[in-house]
Amino acid sequence: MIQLHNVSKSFVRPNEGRLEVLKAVDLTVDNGEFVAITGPSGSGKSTLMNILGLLDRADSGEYKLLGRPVSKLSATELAKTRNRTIGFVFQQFHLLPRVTATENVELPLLYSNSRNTTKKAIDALCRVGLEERLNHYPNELSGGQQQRVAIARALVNSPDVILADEPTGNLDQESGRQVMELFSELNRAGSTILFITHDQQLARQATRWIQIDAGLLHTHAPAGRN
Amino acid sequence: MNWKLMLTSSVRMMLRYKLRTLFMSIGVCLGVATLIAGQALGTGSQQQLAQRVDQMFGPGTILIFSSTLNAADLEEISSQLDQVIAWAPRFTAGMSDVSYQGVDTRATVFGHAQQADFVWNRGVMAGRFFNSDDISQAARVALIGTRLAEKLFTGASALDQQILIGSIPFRIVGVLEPVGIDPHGEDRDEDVFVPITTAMRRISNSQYIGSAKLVVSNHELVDQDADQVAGILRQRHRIAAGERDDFAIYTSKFAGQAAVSAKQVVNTYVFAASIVVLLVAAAVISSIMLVVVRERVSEIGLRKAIGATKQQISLQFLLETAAVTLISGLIGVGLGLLVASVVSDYLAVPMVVGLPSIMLGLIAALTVGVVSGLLPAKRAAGLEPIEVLR
Ligand SMILES: Nc1ncnc2c1ncn2[C@@H]1O[C@H](COP(=O)(O)OP(=O)(O)OP(=O)(O)O)[C@@H](O)[C@H]1O
Ligand SMILES: [Mg+2]
Repeated sequence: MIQLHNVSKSFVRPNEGRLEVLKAVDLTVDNGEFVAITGPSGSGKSTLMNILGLLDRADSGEYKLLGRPVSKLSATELAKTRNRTIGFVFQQFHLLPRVTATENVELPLLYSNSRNTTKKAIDALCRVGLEERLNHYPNELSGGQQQRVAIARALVNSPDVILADEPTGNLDQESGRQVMELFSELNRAGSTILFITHDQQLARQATRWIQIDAGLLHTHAPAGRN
Repeated sequence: MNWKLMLTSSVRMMLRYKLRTLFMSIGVCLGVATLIAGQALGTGSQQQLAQRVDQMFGPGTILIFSSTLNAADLEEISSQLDQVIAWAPRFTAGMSDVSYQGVDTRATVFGHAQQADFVWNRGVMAGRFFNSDDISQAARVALIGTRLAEKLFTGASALDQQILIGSIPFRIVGVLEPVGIDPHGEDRDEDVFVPITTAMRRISNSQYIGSAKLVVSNHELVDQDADQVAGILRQRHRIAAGERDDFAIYTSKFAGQAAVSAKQVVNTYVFAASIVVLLVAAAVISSIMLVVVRERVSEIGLRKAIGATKQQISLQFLLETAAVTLISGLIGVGLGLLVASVVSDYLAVPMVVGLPSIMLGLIAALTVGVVSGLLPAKRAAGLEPIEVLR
């Protein structure tokens, strides 16, 4: 599903010179995997996620998504691939404030040729347990509920992979636990999920745990459920 | 892409940001309303003016003004030019005191011949017009306009009453049909008509007629006919080549053109005014939308992250502004019609609403939307998700 080979990324910052965030990393993620990524602040977790999510390009190396090299894709093709292949979940939820939960979840369908968009949005909200909150506005929902709306939005287009950058970072422990439970459930139902976290406890729930340090990836000793 | 959803979500966005939408729409509403009301009233008043000019002049008519015009000149013209099918002299005796049993007023006194009801288009609504006896005997009979009749008799019948013009007693034999205000703004319903012979001999003691009106058979040729009339007058008044005319000639065509050019002045003014308002509206909308784009960077970033292309983001913002301005344009059309009908009632000017001007208003509104949305849309489309989704 995801194949990174020799991928490097650095940022040039004024006065501070070049900062090598990713140093020729390799990573393969297969269908149905549930991967946790941890690492110190500033270690490049989000940078990796952005490259995987086609929001940023690697400086060098090769990235194949679903077997296709992405380096040759145009901006429009990248957008279309993001729309169909990837579901994003962000730390800050990024819901549109003035539209209802259903309309928020409907959003990715706006950019694909979908039919029955409202029904699909409602189905996705049901999957995340928010069938009672369909017409609520984000400010009428708790943080945990908002993040579940965001997860429903990530699910609605049936993506091949869900990328979540610190999905529990803004949530209290209980809501965070519920979100992780939801991810586990989705993974059991077949979704491929990568998520970033600072919480070792949560990382342990994944089927694979990758640590980033000094621009390199290390596989943490296998852990997980059953 | 899902067009229906895209459109409905644009309209929804517009409704959710009510205050912003209101500010964006005011200018377009006013601009379009100005255009619609101006066109409706401009066209209406032009048609009214043209109608009055027509009524005053009549189609295919030639007006002659000359302080040395006499009856022989006119007889010569009508005998030389077969196309002159009717003519009537008019003598202007000027303002005079007019009174009836102690009610005093002033009115313009004209001397007319018996054919003036047709040639000058001033029939009577009560009583009778002058007959040939009135003219040949220089009778002391008079016709008065409706407003003058109202002033002097306040509702009672004017017929057969004795009035004084200056100090001369006249018997009223008819009341003239109302014609309203002439293009110079004078109320032609306050006039007094007396037989032309009476006016020239008894009131003013003049041997010259002053003015006359000719009706020609083919009103398309009225300008050529006028040239021939001028030729005859120059000859009869012994005006050498190179010397100036001692008369002035106007034709119905000339008057019609004056009315048309008055309309063009009004229309140009209205058009310029609404263009200015719409340009200001476009600038306002554009700057509001730039602020909106800045406020909504994370929304835009999110939309791009979940798969919106640059074009789709541009389109979204263009649709949002175009939806606002198009709906404002529709409201502006309604507002313009309302204003036009109120003003039309108030000033007694007819309004004429043309479909083209409504279409023009809506197209202008839409254009304002698209033009003012371009820059904000471009700015929005250029945003990169990773820059704004931190
Ligand atoms: N656009 C950029 N320009 C310059 N430097 C950047 C840019 N994006 C990231 N960096 C730097 O790259 C490094 C890695 O950033 P990244 O956001 O990937 O870290 P992270 O592991 O996600 O950290 P955190 O846990 O705090 O979210 C940081 O030092 C950051 O300052
Ligand atoms: Mg990060």
